[in-house]
Formats: sequence, C-alpha cells, structure tokens
Amino acid sequence: MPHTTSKSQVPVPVQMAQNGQTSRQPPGKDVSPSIIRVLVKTPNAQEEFVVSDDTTVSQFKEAISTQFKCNVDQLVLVFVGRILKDQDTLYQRGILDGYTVHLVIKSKNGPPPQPSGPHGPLLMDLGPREGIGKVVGNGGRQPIIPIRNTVPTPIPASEPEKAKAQSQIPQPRTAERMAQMLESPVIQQLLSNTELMRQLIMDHPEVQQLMKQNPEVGHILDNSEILRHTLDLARNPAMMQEMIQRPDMPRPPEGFWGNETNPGGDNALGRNYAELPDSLFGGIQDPLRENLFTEFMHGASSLGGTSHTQSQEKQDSKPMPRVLHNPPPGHPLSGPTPVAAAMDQCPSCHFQDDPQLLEDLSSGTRFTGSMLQLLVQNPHLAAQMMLFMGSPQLYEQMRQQLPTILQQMQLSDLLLALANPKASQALLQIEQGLQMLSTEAPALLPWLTPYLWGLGRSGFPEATAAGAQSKEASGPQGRGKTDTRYQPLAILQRLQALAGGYSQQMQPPEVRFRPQMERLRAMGFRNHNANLQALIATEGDTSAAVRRLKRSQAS
Amino acid sequence: MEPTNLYPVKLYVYDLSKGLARRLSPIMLGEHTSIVVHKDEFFFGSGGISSCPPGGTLLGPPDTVVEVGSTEVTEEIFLEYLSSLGESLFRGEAYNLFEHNCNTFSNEVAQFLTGKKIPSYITDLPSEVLSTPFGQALRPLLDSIQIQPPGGNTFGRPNGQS
Repeated sequence: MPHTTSKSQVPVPVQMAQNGQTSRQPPGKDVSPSIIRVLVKTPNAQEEFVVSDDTTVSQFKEAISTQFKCNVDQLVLVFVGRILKDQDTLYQRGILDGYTVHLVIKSKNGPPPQPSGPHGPLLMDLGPREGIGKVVGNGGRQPIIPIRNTVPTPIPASEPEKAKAQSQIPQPRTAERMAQMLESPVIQQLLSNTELMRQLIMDHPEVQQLMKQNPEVGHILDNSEILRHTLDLARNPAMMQEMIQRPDMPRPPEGFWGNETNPGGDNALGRNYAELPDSLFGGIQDPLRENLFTEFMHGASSLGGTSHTQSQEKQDSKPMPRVLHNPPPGHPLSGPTPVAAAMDQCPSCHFQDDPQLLEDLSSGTRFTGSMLQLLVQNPHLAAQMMLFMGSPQLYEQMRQQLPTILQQMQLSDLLLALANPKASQALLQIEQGLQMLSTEAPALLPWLTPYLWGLGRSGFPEATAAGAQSKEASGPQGRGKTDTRYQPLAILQRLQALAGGYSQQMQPPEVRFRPQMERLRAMGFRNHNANLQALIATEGDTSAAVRRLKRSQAS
Repeated sequence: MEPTNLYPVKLYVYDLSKGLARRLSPIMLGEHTSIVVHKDEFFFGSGGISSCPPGGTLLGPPDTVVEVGSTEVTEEIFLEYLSSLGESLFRGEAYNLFEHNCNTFSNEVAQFLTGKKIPSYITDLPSEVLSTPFGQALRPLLDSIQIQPPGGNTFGRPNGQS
C-alpha cells in the first residue's frame, strides 16, 4: 500500500483540520488534506472525481451514486484488490491523486427495480432482457419463461448420465446460458425465420425419410423453440465447439426440450467431430469453421455412417441421429475419410471420391515409398505446403494431425497442387523473393520464418536424400539452386518433380512402361506379365528389369 | 480491522507455440492467458468471456502460473463485475487478436482484483509484432484469427447466477 509516498505539494507540519473524521489516522500525519482526483472505473464507463483525500469512503460512495444514478448500497469499490469499507478515508486506503478505483454496481436480482430512478448500467442491461422475455412471451413465447425455471430441475436428473467429468462446470450455468441465449434478440430474429427454416428442413429428402421412420422428429421440427435453438446452435460455432468438447454434456437440452430426442443431430455430428484428433481444434476458431459446419449439415449422412460405429451407448437418447445412420448403411468410406472431410474442404473432395488414390499411395513402390517417407519425416513440410494452399488456420490444424493421416490426405493434394504448373510457379517466385530477402535483409528473417519453411531445415538433409532417390531428371536442377541456407527451394522443385512423376504414375503401368515392354519383348522376354512386374519393380529401368527377369528365369 | 478473506489470484499462461515450431506459427501471439480466482478460470475469447475449472480448457494445464496477488473481492462481486465487462468491453465480437484479446482481458481483471498488471512481456507481444512491417502486412489476415479455447462456459448476463 503506497502509504509512504509523500505529498510533495503541501509539506506542512502537523495540521489536523478535520480531526473528527480522521480520528483513525495514524499519528503523525504530516500533510493537510488535499484535493485529489480519483478515477472511478466501472466496466462500462469511468468518471473522474475530485475529492479531498480525507473523504470517507461512504461519502465518496454518495458522490458516486449520484453520478452513476444508483443506490449507495449497490456500490462496491475496489482498490488494489481490496474492498473499500465505508469508514475508511481515501487517504487511509492509499488512494492518491490520479489513482484509479474500480467500481462494481451490483444489480438487483429478484426484487423489482426501485422506483428511485433508473439503476446502474448493469440493471439497464438486465431490464431490456427481461423485457424481451416478457414481451416476447406475450407473442407466443410464453413457454420459454417457465422452461427457464424448470431448467435447473432436470439438470440434476441428467447429471448421473455424464460419464466424463471432463468439465465440472455447474450444470445450471449451461442451462442458464442456454436460456439466456434464447432470450437474446438474436432469437427474435430467428423467430421470423423459423418458418423458413422449417420449410427448408422439411424439404430435405433425408429429413422426410427420418420423419417417416421416427414421428418424434416431426414433432421436434414442429416445435418452434427447438428449431430455434437448433438453428442457433448451428449458427454459433462457439457454442457448437463447447458442445463438441463435452460430448456427454449436452444433456441439459434434454430437460429443456422436455423429451428425449435431440433435434438437428447436432450432437451426433458434434460427437463425430470430437472423434477427430482433439488438436484439430487447437483453440482456433475461424471463419472456415462455418464452412465446415455447412459441410456437416450436408454431409450428415456420411458422418452419420461413422458415428454409428462409435458411441453407441449414447444413441438411446437420440433416435433421430440413429435414424440418420440408416440411409447410408453401406457407405464405402471408412473412418479416416470423415476426418478428411472435416479437415479439408474442397481439396479433399476428389480425394474422398477416389479411394483409388489411397490404394495407389499405399502400393509400396519405391517412388511413393520415398515420398511418403519424406512426408512422414517432415509433416511440417507437408503442412507448410498446405499453408499456401489453404489458410493459416487450416494449416495450423493440419500440422497437428497424426503423420499418417496427414500424409494420406496431404500427399495427393500436395502433389496435385504441385502438378499445377502455375501454382508451383507462384510458389517458386515466393521462395525466390524470400531467398533474396534473406540475403539482403537477414534481420527480417525471424518474421519471415513462417514462410521460409525453415522447420524443414533440420530434416532437409534426409529430405534431400529421400528425394534423391527419385529418378526424375530435374533433381540435379534443384540441387543446383541449393545453398546452405536455402534448401526449401530445392525441396520444392524436387517435390514438383515427384509430383510430375506421381501423376505419371497414376497411369497404369502398362501404359507407362510401354516402350520398355517393347524393348523387353524385342530382347526375347515373351512373358508379358513377368515383364510388367519386373518393370514395375525397377521403376521402368529396362536393364534392371532384364536382370531381374533373367534371374527369375534362371531360378 | 475486522478479518477479511483474501482470495489468491493467479494468472495461467499457456504457451501456444509450445510443441509447434515457433517460427511456423502464424499465431504470433504466442500466449494465451487466463485468470484463476475463486477456483475458476476465466478467459476471454471470440465467444466472449468464458469460465471453466482451472486448466479445464482444451489447452490443458498451463505452462506457467503467475501469482498475481490476492483479492478481497468476493465471488459474487467478481461475477457481477465480469458480467458487466462481458456486456461492455469484452463482448465476443470485440475480440481482436492484436489489440483486444485474452491478455487484454487478463490484464484488466488482474488490475481489478489486485491492482497489479500482468507481466509486460505478455501484453507487449502484440504491439511488438504490429510494429514490424511484416506484422502490419499480415494484419488483415491475423485480425481474422479468433481464438477461443474450447472447454469453457461462456459467461452470460447476470441472471441470478451468483
């Protein structure tokens, strides 16, 4: 407490001008009461007060209450973390000129607002909200208010259901929050759209199917409140995220909805989402997520297919999501693919549609093997590629993936993107520009590192080694540009070459190796299949294939 | 003086660049902070002010815990205070990665609770970044980044919560 600071402005010997008030002052106060400016800060506003420093706190509060138009009882003054008591003086508490005192204006809960004028900012906020609740209640939202009161009661009932104690947030808070959400003006707007949304939902053929199978769904859809809340959920990524993180949590809505079904299958989807590596969400929320959600809404079927296999035990209370699973029973895509769907957006479309790619990937030819190895060892590298293709946020998410998933997903995208000459051209230009910068202005380097792909530097020796295994001719070209500080360029080009090679590989071996096959046949190797196998094994190297064939013939 | 209860106030610091190569992270604001008091953790994200049990966000336990001090402010008063903060200064949409982020919030709350600010190396980080031409260039991009550590419970308006 800064009691010891001296008031240099009035160095006067002992002078107790107003002794009566300051009877509690420590003996030896050597300055007369002086006027100080005190800043009173509320969360919403701040006001400056000019008072004498031996003003008592209670007097101060009176001045404040006049200024802020509230009751003295509502005021709580906090200074340096201490609550100021009425009988102290400002000086005693160490409040000097220019200091800031924090003010909290307590709201009045329960009892009606006092007739004496409007209350502090807090209550003014509370008022309109209650007003909304009541006004809208008249407009047919009456059920909301009683539900709000009943929300706390179902909560304890749903508590035992929670298997995870992942978050011990008091349940009423969640429910209250939801109730508050409903009261927000946003909901009012949604009201007008509910009809529209309901129409939209009903028009969806799957929904219609659902409704046939599960009449409760229809009941839900007809219930405007539930619809409203569902829409709000869908629109609010933050909330969705919360629900996702606590997949067992969203039980409060049960009590809220009054029945066991949970509309929108949001939670089913949310749970699917939670199945994904948690790091996917590394705390980052971005506009992209909106897209992911819309994708979910449309891709509900595919995700439903997977969630069916997981968390079965939760399904009892969710007839709707369970029904969702039925439409796509024989969905060909397996587990990792919804992961892909969730994380990638358009890039993954083609990947999803082409499981063949996956096969090609895992067909361990030496070429792809080395490529995979490259990526496995340098997932950051692959992720960095994505940086330019996607967005930083997406990239962030990517790089936290398991390397395998990463490589599976990224590989094709990577290569396909690289195969686009214009894209790799642009990348090259960026690299060149950065390289120039690195030589001209090394000071900028720390800030440029995200774009330097510098992380791969340590792994680059092995990357170069791995890349060197490829038989592409542009390898040496890349090497020519390599300098000790700037290997990414080489890697880029090498990868580009690999991309070219890979896309080449996508053609069936027969096509690719036709000239070699001809040659083999001319040499006298008649066995077409054996030739092909040999060529595949040797990556189209005719002489090696010949050796191989000879060996196999001899054995 | 009558005995008053003192509640410890802690600052949880999460180093977001831990495990990620710092130079790769487009999130140059490398630290997320939150205030822990009254056995609850409070932080500000793009969803507004949120709370959770200490260490209860997806980020897990904090990397550093800074003892800010102690406060007499009771939980009730604190929640009131947070509610009005959430209405005014710290609404979700007010979130800005550089200028009005979790650290801004932690600083504000720390001052309210204890009169002390949080360590300057945390609060200075955004302005440090912004002062570089690179930071300025990236600014529109980074402005759109919103951080909301999952696992928190968004702080609502006062509704008889306390």
